[in-house]
Amino acid sequence: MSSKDALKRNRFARLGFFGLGVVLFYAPFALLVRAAGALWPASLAGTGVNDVHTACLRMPLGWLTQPWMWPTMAGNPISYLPVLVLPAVALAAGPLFCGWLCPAGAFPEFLGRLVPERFKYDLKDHVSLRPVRYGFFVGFLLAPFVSASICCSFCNFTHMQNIVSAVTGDLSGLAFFSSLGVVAALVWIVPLGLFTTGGRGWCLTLCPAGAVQGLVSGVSAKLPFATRVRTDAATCTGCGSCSAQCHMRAITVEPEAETKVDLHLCDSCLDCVKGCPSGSMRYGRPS
Amino acid sequence: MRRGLSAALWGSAAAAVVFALGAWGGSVSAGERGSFTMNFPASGTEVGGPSPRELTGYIVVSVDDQGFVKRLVQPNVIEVASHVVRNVGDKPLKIRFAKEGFAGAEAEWHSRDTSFDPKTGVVERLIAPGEAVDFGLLLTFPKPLPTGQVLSKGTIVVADALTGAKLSALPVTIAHDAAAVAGGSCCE
Repeated sequence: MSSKDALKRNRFARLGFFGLGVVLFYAPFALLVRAAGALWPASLAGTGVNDVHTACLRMPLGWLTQPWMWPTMAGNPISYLPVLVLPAVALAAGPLFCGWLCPAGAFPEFLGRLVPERFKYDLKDHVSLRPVRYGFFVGFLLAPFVSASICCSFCNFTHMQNIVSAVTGDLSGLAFFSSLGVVAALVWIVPLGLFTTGGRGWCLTLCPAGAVQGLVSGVSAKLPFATRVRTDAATCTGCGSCSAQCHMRAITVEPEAETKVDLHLCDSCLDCVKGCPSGSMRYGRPS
Repeated sequence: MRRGLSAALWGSAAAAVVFALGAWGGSVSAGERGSFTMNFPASGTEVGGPSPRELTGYIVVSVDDQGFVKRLVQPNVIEVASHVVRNVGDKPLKIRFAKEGFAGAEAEWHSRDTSFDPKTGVVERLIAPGEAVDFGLLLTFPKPLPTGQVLSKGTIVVADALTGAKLSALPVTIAHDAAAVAGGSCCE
């Protein structure tokens, strides 16, 4: 199979997993939320409100700096998902949730493929992505103390839920607009989605769940069991196809220098591994 | 050294953007949406906010505080909504959402609970102790917004769908300026 076919196949597979993400997290399906409700009926997941808000990936992270919310978190096992489970997966295998399961990340990425590349802005060329990603996350944690929380008012998961609900027949989520909600939706879809190279501008800069997983993945990359995207300098031809395919803008190819993958940004989607014509990208442990 | 400084500047700028967004969102939210949690059978309502939640007994939405985006796209639609209306009693209940008042506004119920009937306001399933349901009441006012201090006043009632008994109630005031109107008293 050629690298082009392998890449195409990988993208189809990812699309399938994003569909699974919809079924697991989003109303009217929300199977993961329902399962958590059945397992822990006395917790928030057992309230019977089965949508992405019950399995929120943002609030529990915000609660980390809010001691008065710790009892709520402790009594609500589904809130361990962004705080413990996804970082644990990122520690072992990279941020697989971001690259394979998060519909809110995938939606602008795949929608953005409809926009010609010449209209897009490559954040990597203009913005220092890693500091911005972590700076936003620090701001997200401290905002309740400095100004006001943006956890719920500036949330792309809510908009994804509204889109899924609308597609499945419930238009009520589209009936009300708030100022910050409109700004969040526009920023998520238009400048950081459709008109950003890769379509993952929101994930790269404004997603706290992505930042935590990126941080864990990046700092633990050299551990012997850490499975990550890695390059083989001996066989790399420097053709740049990996960098061009990387929606997270995590790969740098410089003439006469080693191809580098920034594992603080990479979401382990494996597009680069499958699409590398020389086979010099791999997903595995440190050699 | 220079790289570290650059990273610190980018990071600080990102955090500053978040603080600015938070300040803006915080200042306009009270004019756009009433958000809270509600218990039944009980009185008292937790109103959402960035700090530890306080028990209060009423909601005031002051439309003069709306942000410019809201003013531009949809100044006349106010939502009073809760993700968690919880049964804190000891027996399962079938509930009905009802509104009293809200003259001058078109009102429409919605919920993500599949057993909710927006026409009757009834949640058809039994809500077990500890379980909750979400709901939103969309209030649509004529454009341009009516003048006068208070646009509309009403009460959201959670009632027993079988007996009609009132289980919980939340007074809501939609006003131009919250500071100029009295909201009500807490937890009577």
